[in-house]
Amino acid sequence: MKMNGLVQEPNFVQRVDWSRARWVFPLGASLLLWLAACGISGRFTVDLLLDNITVASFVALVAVGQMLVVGLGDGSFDLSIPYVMTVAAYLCGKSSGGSNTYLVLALLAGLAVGALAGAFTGVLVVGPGLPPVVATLATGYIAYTIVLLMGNGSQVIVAPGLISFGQNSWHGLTLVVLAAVVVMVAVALLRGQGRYGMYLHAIGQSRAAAALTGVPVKRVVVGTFMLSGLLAAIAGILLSGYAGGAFADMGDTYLIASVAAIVVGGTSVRGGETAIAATAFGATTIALLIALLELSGAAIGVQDIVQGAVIIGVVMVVTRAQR
Amino acid sequence: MKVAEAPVPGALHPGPAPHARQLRWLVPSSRGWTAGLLLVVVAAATAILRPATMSVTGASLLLGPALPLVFASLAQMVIILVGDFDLGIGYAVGLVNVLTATALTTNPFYGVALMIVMVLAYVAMGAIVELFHVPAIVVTLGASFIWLGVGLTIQPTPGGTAASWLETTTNATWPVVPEQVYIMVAGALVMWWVLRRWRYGIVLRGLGNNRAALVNSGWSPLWTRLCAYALAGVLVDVAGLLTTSVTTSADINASATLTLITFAVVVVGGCRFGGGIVVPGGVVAAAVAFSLLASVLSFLNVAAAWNTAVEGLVLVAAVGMRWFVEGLRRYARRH
Amino acid sequence: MPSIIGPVATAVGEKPILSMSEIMKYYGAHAVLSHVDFSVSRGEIVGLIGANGAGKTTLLKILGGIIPASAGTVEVDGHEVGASHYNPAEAWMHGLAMVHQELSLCTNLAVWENWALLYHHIGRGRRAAQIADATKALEAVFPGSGISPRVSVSELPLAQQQMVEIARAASHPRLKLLVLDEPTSALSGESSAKLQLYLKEARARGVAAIYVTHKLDEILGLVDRIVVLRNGEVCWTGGRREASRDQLVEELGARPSEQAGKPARQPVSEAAVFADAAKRESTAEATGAGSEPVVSMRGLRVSRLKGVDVVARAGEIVGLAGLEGAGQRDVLRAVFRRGRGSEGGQVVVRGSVAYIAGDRAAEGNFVLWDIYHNILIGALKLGRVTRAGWLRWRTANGIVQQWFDHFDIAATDPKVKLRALSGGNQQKVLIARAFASEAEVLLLDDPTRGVDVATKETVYGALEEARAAGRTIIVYSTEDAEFHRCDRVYVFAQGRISGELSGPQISGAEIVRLSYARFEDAGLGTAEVDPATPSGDGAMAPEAHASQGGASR
Repeated sequence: MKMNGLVQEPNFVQRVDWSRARWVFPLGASLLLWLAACGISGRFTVDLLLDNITVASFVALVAVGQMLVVGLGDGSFDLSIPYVMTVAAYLCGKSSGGSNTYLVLALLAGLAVGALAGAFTGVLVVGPGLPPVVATLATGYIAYTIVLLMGNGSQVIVAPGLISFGQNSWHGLTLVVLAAVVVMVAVALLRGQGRYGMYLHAIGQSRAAAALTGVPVKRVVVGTFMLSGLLAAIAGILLSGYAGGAFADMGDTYLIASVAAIVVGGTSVRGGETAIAATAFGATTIALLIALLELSGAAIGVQDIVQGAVIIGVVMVVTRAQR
Repeated sequence: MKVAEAPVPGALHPGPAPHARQLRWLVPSSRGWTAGLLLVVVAAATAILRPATMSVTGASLLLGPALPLVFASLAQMVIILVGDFDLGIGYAVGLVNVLTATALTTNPFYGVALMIVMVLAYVAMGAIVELFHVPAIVVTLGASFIWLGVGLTIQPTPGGTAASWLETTTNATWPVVPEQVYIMVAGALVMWWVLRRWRYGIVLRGLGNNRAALVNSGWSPLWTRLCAYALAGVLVDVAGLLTTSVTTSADINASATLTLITFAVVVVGGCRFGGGIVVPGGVVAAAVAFSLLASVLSFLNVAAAWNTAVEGLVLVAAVGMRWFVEGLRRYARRH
Repeated sequence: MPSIIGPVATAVGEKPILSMSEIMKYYGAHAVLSHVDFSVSRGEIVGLIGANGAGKTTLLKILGGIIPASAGTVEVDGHEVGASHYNPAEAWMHGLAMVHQELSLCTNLAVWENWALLYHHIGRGRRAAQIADATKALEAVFPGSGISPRVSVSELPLAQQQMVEIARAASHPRLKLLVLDEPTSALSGESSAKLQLYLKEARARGVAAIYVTHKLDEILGLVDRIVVLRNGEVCWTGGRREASRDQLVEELGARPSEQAGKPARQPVSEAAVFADAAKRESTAEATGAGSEPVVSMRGLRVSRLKGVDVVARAGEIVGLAGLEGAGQRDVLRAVFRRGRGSEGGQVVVRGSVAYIAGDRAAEGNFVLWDIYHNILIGALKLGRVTRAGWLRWRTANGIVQQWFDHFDIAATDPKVKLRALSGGNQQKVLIARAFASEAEVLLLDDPTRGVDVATKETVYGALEEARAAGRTIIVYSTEDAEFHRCDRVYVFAQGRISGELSGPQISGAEIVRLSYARFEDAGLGTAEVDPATPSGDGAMAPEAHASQGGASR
């Protein structure tokens, strides 16, 4: 059928939606911040960049998980991330017993507990219909209980193999960063190439329309929380390797950081859209912002104020631009 | 289920007499019953474990630390009333703690001015949420950094002193009923009055329920939200003041954990996150219960680290109980 | 257009409380209201009736200041109100109180608090005074109803909520005109009678009223004058004694081509109808229609439905007709859910089902997506589109392009955002989505609402194709003139099926007649609808509410 007299050649660019290449902005911001940091410290060095990227990787991982949950719309947030990170790291450490013999099993155990926590949250949300804020809070508290049971509040020794992974690099890039990139690429594939991705975005835009289109809403909701739990577990396990051990409050700052990374990356927190690269670069932007502030000698208080102002400012600008 | 039309006014709802119905909102009601139950259980446990706390002095010592949580929870309750979340309330209270332990001590007028600024800052947050259509979670999150930053700038390490008059406000020993109870009950009563007796309280409660109805009746959602946020700001000020009074020092990080606890308290207290339905009495009861819980655990020689875990269990249990009872009620109604 | 017939009693020279002349309202190129003259004198009760899509709700919205008219003048209480700044607040100030179909109460507040919300500018701030006001008003309009003003609205059954809403509007301190849009849809006969009594009392005091309803018997017993709207025009007006019920029904549904001097909107000749029917019969035989039904519903009771039997076969287009809110949408939902969640009856569906929503904004559009994804989301369950959960882009592209071209969607390519399309094209995208799913059963929820004629043709063309391919199609439409394209039509009234028409029996007039059918056991004014389950959440019965409210023209 010809349309309006024009013959249209099928012209699909499905792998990259150029209109949504929003990751350019936070990437640009990151580079600018890095340059500014170099300027202040007087040396043009890549080390600064790489160090901060490593730290940012942990944030990026949990932020991607949070982003998926937020993508569900309807005020969905995952408040359990810090606790799931910790419990996964603890379980992994404990099961490995501090040696490399059962490392693989220990890793699987850690990942499994993350997915399980997510599944528990998901069931609370779709079954009794608890608001996600309450459900994730409950799951988080339960996870924390398990942490206490396992660790008695003291640090847990982690397998040496994990530590060496967490603290080594390959051609300059830390293995942590590489692992994070691999994971995020996997999530991006799932989101962009899989049915799951379309289902998630449909639910976030209009739950009613999604249900009427035959989207298995309940399954996708549970699956999303499981993914977030899994990502938190990965981040927690990697972090325990990087830090050389797992400790009870290791996840503390990551809840706020996860939301901040999404916001600074320019993604809406209203649901229906996800942007992995943008969120990852949002994490690097925040890390570099903090580094820059530290270098500039600003007091820690000022650093916090600037961070807060940036978050609010960015979200105001982004929301305006979207309307 | 056909409802017959009764010829006698009031016969349709043979419930409690009108007075009792009003009191329901102060006392843990059908919504706040879990909080009331929890409070009773925890209070009983306290009494059993440490009979000394049953004296006025003992109770005072125990209830003092509960006061900040009570008012922080009430503030969170007000934010939830209009359908938002406050993720930065912990640091906000901490900041007021710092302000009142520094500026207020040295220069009362300056201190009071700063506290007013705090209320205005909360109003500004409300304006951003309403005018820019930004989710409150993000705004309060960003604000939490600002509170933390300002607090650290003023008081980088724990320190400061409380003005003497402030110190004595929560340390007075009153006969029969501890002073702290009066403060708490006053808080609950004031909030109840604001929501149920004040004319504008009706509008506040309506915003979270049916915004269109509000607009059609000629009310402005913007001013309503600003009013709610201002109210929350005042409650945050009170919570910060009480923190200073109880701890007699300033430490912004001490209040950091408040945020998530206020969520738990608000849920256990019977409020709904959908907006529009909150229970001041339940929230106060739940806050006291959570506070006492920490004491009970210490009496049982449980390490402090377990507090969070137990709070979580309480939250889960409360939600589970409520869901179970609601389910029963719905089942009963249908058959 | 016939001009207004004089009111029952009014002082000579006294201006009418409401005067609308030459009102036009366009949505795009489509005239929803055309040359409408409508006025109400003081102390007059006017009944406004019209079948689906006649324009009643639009007219009310214009006179209430909610939407502006495209042309024409509106005068309220002698003041001409400019379309640019006329709004509900100004209408209120002129003494106009309106009760909409959608209840506008805050369910978490008590009854008297809803009063306080509306009457805040009245100086009586004291609680006791407000409560007394509310009690008095309730007693005045619905004496003996037993509604306690202190009770939370969420605890009241739907009927009582409606009573509260009406009484609240009627307490307007300077009430001159009370506009009621389907006020008794959830009320029992007893309560309706009370309302009518109140309106008559108010009339004696000089208060005018506009009463919009489908219940013709109520109108005949109450109003002074009746105005019949059809297709956006006033097609009849006269005093209550000048019309019988049957006459009114006829006016409501008469063939458009009978209207003197106006070209028929949907030209249909008798020959064409019969030719159509003959073609359909042969198609039906070819596809084996008459064999085992694909959709079979027996005694279904859910929401507004009170025991409904519906059958649909392969290669058939089945229409669901009747006034809005009579239960048609509930039937579609029940088929989609295969009977889950219903209170009684049995639903059997053999095959996959696709649902095309009518309320695009709420239930159909994915606004952040482009056309491509809006179509593809329907096809995700097809085996060839995915391999183990991963999308096969080439196949997907092919499917999207195929349906994009087929429905002639007016955009340069499927990458255009859905938001940028017109209403008609958005509807086409939804239909493309349903076709892309290759489902055996297609459910359409008022697909031609708010779309242009060309799109309507496309829609029905697609349905004919689907029928030829052996699919089963069930269509709910509020445009009675379109049902001649169906093989069979079930007409709904008050949650029951009042009749089943097939082939040449299907006509607009017959459908209208059956839409207004009364059921013996229900009696005048119908039995009270199942009240909302008073739940602690303050939720009103969503199903009953939604199907009763409906979207408006």
